[in-house]
Amino acid sequence: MSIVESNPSAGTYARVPGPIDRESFFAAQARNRRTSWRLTALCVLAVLILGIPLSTILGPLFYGLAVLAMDVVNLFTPTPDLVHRFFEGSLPLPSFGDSAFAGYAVIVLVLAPPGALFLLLVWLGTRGLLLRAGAGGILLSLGAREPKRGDLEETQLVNLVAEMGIAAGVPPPRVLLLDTRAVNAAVVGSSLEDGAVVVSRGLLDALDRDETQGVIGHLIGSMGNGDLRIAMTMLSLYQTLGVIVAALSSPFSPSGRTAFQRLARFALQKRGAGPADAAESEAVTQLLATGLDGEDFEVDDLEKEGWKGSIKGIAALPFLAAYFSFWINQKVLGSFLVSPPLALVWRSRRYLADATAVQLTRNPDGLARALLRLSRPDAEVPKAAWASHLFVAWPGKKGTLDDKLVMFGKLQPGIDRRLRRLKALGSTVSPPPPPPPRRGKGRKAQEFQGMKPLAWVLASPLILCFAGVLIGNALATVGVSLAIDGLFFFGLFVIPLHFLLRYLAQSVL
Amino acid sequence: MALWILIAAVVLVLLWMIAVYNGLVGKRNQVRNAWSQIDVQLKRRHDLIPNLVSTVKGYMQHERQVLEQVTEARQRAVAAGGNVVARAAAEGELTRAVGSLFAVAEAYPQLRADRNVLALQEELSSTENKIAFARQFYNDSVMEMNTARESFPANLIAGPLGFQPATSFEIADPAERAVPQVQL
Repeated sequence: MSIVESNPSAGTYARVPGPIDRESFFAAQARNRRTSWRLTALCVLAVLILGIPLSTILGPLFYGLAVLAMDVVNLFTPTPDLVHRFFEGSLPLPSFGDSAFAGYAVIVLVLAPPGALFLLLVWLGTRGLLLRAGAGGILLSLGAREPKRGDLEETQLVNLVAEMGIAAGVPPPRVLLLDTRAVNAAVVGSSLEDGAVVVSRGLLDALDRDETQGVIGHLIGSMGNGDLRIAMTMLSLYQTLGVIVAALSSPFSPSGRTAFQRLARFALQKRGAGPADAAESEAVTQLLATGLDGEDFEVDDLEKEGWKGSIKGIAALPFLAAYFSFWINQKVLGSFLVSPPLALVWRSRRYLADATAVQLTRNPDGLARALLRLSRPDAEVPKAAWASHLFVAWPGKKGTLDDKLVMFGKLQPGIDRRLRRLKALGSTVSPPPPPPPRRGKGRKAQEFQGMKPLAWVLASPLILCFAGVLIGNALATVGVSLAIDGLFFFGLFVIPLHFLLRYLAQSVL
Repeated sequence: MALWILIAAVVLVLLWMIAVYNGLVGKRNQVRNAWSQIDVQLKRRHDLIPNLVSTVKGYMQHERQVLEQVTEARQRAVAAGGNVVARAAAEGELTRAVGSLFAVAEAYPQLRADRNVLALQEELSSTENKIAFARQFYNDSVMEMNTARESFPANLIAGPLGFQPATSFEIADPAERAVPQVQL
């Protein structure tokens, strides 16, 4: 079986490598670091922009609850009546003039801060939760074990990790082994100190010493560069949104309620360190990040409860509106705005780890040959697709985070590109040649490659239109949610309760 | 007004000097740590060699000369102690002697089947690699230190602050650069 036929990931129209400019791995590392810093800044910007409609949606719910809380306190000590002052017009609201845009700006400025604060708190909470579980707990729950002392290859692996630790000037991380025939290796943990390198038995059998050392160099380089923290931050971002979606859907959806209860139980109980706990923590992590997609979304069946059901339905309506609006914004803006830079950041960290591996081993061929071997389908470790971004390479896309969360852009860079970059660092391993193009289709695609700048220029008005559509979508959904909140939540629930409580306070005192 | 600007400028320059000083201190300590790491691995090799010699002695009755060479080279390396030049020469001798021993051991098939010998061989070759990697890390640290020290504008104050340039680990003895001869 030739390399071409056995390598399904060879890009159909990848350019055949010609002369490639050499660069030193220090230069490559510096370049990748700069790129990843810029992309991280872009990511942060995208997340902040994403946060604006999301916090605005959550705002009214908080204000309503705050008003009611103040009314309850008012029964004991006098508190200012904000609703009265709002209708009087004497609340200190900012004002930017009379245009519609100024009106929108005021609404956002007033409604967004409590929601933003809440999002921030939930984010810190999920990060704390994740820190306990550590990134990649799934591999521990799959049954990673310590290396056997008598086995020569496993002892050699421990020595390899120690050698790479010395080359990197860091204490060597723990080594764990996965008894599976899949050929792959990953890093797990939350930082260099408590990180571990997980290697599959299949990898030890399939790769020789140099190639294994290249892989370990990549993993230790990746740990040393702080990629584990970045992975955790990425995941906690999606999980924050998942927690909020679960909370918003609890009033009307049983699946949301069970998810929320499971999370609450997990957060509050004392956790042990056994594999069952690791499995549970991994399940909760996964559930939060990807499970609230709407795939098993159900709504309570209220018809059978008669008039009580109708009241429940009306009470849950603002939460339903907020939920849909939140979910649509999170999906749409998240996919188009946040996930491309996120994928780019992670890819540049992979390239950085490759260059660090070359620095540590001074042997680009080892890693290159290992990557070539890892481009086959048997590099997919079963049931670990969800943590695919923590592995050295991952040829497929099914079941990975790419599939569920990061809609545009791949988290793992293609093997071809990595081999090209390693070639620039001095390796002699060529990426496999692309398969011959089908009749007629090859040439057009090749020509298109050269026309890329022109394509961007022609597409820019379309891109602007699309950005306009995104903004319009955000405005529309947020507007609908606010309208429904205003009508049902405030109108039917908060305001009557508010007057009731104030009347009670006046008549009691 | 001008006085405040002057004071602010002086404070900024002081802060920059502190940052440069701390950075150089960190790098210098890394260089020192890397140097002592080399020592750690060399010592580990000293400790492994008697084990190896006693394990293979039973099989290689006729190779007493090679075994003696290894034992003597090890004793010389341990005795060289702190004298860097003599130590480097002795360690080089030891590397060559151990290499000869492994080459000779290829001719003894019973040795390859002995698990203890295989494990010991793996340990020794791993220790050789660790020595090499420790030197590589030392040289990388030296490069970082010297680059930080010599870049503008840090080079203006590095000298007065007491940071000397570090020297890379290079092979002092030109004979070591020659391909080692294996005496069979």
